[in-house]
Amino acid sequence: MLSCKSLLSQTINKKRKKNKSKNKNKNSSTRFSKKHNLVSKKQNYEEEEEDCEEGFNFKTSAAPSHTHGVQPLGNLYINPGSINSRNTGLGNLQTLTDELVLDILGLLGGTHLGVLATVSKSFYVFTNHEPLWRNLVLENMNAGFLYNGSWKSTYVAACYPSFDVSSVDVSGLRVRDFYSDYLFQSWLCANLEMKPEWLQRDNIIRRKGISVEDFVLNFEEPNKPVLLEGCLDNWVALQNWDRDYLLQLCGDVQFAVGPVDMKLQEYFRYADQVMEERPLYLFDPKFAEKVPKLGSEYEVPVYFREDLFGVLGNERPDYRWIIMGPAGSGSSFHIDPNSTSAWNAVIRGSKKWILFPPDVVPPGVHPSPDGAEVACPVSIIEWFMNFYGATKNWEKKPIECICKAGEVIFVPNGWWHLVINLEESIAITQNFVSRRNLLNVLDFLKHPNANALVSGTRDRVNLHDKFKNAIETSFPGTVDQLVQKAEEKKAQQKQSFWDSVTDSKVGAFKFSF
Amino acid sequence: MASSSTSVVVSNKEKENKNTKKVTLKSSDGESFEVDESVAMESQTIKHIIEDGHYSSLALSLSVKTTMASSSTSVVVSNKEKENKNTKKVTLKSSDGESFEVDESVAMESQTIKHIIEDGCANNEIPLPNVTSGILSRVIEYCKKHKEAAGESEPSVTSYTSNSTTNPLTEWDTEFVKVDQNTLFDLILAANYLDIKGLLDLTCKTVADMMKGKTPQEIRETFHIKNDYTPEEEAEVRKENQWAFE
Repeated sequence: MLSCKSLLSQTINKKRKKNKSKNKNKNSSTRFSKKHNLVSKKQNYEEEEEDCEEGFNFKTSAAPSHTHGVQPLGNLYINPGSINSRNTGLGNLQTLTDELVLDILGLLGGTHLGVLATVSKSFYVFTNHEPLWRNLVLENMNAGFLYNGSWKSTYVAACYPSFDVSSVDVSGLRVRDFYSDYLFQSWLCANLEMKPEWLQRDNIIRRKGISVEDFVLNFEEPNKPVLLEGCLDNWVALQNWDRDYLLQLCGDVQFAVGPVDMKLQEYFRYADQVMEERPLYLFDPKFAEKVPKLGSEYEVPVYFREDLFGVLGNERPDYRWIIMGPAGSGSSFHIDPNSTSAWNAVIRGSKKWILFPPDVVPPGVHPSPDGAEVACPVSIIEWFMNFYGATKNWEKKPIECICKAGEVIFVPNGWWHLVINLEESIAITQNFVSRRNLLNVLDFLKHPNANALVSGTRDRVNLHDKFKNAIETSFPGTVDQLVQKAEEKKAQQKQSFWDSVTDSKVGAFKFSF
Repeated sequence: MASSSTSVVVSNKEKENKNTKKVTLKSSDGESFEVDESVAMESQTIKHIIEDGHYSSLALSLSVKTTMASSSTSVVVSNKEKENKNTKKVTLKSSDGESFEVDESVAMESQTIKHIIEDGCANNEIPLPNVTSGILSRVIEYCKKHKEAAGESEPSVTSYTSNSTTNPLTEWDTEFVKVDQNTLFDLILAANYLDIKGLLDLTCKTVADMMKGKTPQEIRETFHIKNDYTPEEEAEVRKENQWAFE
């Protein structure tokens, strides 16, 4: 049984708003506004009957939220005469930006932060900023931790066991007149639901029961995404894999969760309680080695069985992952590693996908010129808030869909993609190389910057040679055949398929958690 | 070219001789001949070497029909670039209108300035409206010092580390940040705006260190912070964080 947290529910929060009193400043006509929008009558949360099309809905949550009364800067400007307790409480430090203050606090240990909290209300708000405590936990407790409602609480409970954390009023102090865009935005993104209009567009091609030839001809060769239905019907995983089953099978196995390893049961405990902008995501490339039964309860859908990296045997780069995450977790825009293609099958839950073709960089994303780094400064939800709308007016719209349990999406090589779990989800994904993209993979691996770009293996620089030799051994003459075919094709067409896929060299595997 | 093998030493004396550009040719037996560049460029070989400017240390066996050397000499080309590096300069203008001419390589310690230059937008002056002259001069001082150190050893030395045995600049850095708070915070803002990682790390660490090991009241006094808690609130917050005081 999965937790009930969901990003799908649209009508939940109007009634719950009375509990979200942190959003209201009772003394003034404060409005919750979108970051750069000072006043909008539509966004008045005090009027619960109001249609909230323009405003934001907040997540359902069983966990209590930390409310300190932080408001966005815009509210200060519509409150003439109001002081900002952020500034008075920072003293000489007030000239620094919020990010810089947090950078400085990020250099301190837990004890220092605890002492600082008592200095002033402003410091209270800053030192309670959850990402600070998350970093302390992840850096100092990577052997495992028991999530305890908040990162701060988790840290204190582990490092100061004699202190009774439960004696502390969880909601903490409410602070008046504290205005800060950065902290407010951070809180907002941690608590937002997906807006319905972000979920409306579903323009991916869906197919059911097509032949492998059909798939190769119409989707793999032209490098187009497609959502395939009905090809997981024989998966045991689809019947079995729910929380109870997995806990029983491998509850105390350590899985890779972002920068740390966690036991599955600890991860579920975290997922149930957490409410943050970038939830930790369980993403393990060795799940089948750790728990062979998991590997046996699914099989590669028939369309994707040709996987040439297999010739490398154990030396192949990481290629298959189990993915589990609460609502809000996911991956920001990236292109898959080594120029491979991928399929992603949802076993439980649902995922929102946005895909851009290789030559279209998504708004808000900044790949470095060599493609080794992709800077996407915002979290997934903030991307939706700030950049999704821009795509509305484009002629070439991104491909979007919601992939539900039992469905598989094919992600062609080189395509940018972003994924967000709309509810707690369990999925399997694999990357693969078929004859259709063998040449581009070889080219990619030959790239002079292989050291930075190639991923999933320790032997980056030699992978090209190893792979090529292994292919020659197992499938002699294949590469030459393909090269010949490609040259023939190129001679025939003005712009060949290969021209369009060379752009896939831009960008590389880079998740931000 | 003639058949005798010779080698030529070319040194670029550009820096020292701004008016009539001269070059010094050094023969293999150590004799130097200073000539006008234009004269030296009668030699196509030397001309190309000068024009390229990117020569590395080479010993060229050339057959030279020389009007310069009277006897056949061997000529070695050596890279004098290092002496004459950093001749490219750029001008930075502070918010209060003061101009600072610095070596381009020093200015490029700032990623922000580096991008402006690389984008080709640095033809005249680079205006820095967020940085006053007082702060800018200190920033330049930092960059110069760290650039020099980088030139002499591994580049990683210039990034801030607190381990004085590996970082010879630690003492200098420590002195550098002994300034009043306002200056310190202005340096943080400038390092952030100009994207100079070493300086940002150094200054932030300095402030963080000022917060350690002090009581709340001492912290308030250090940074002129007003205690805006009511006694009840203060007690509540203290209770919440009691673990930090033990």
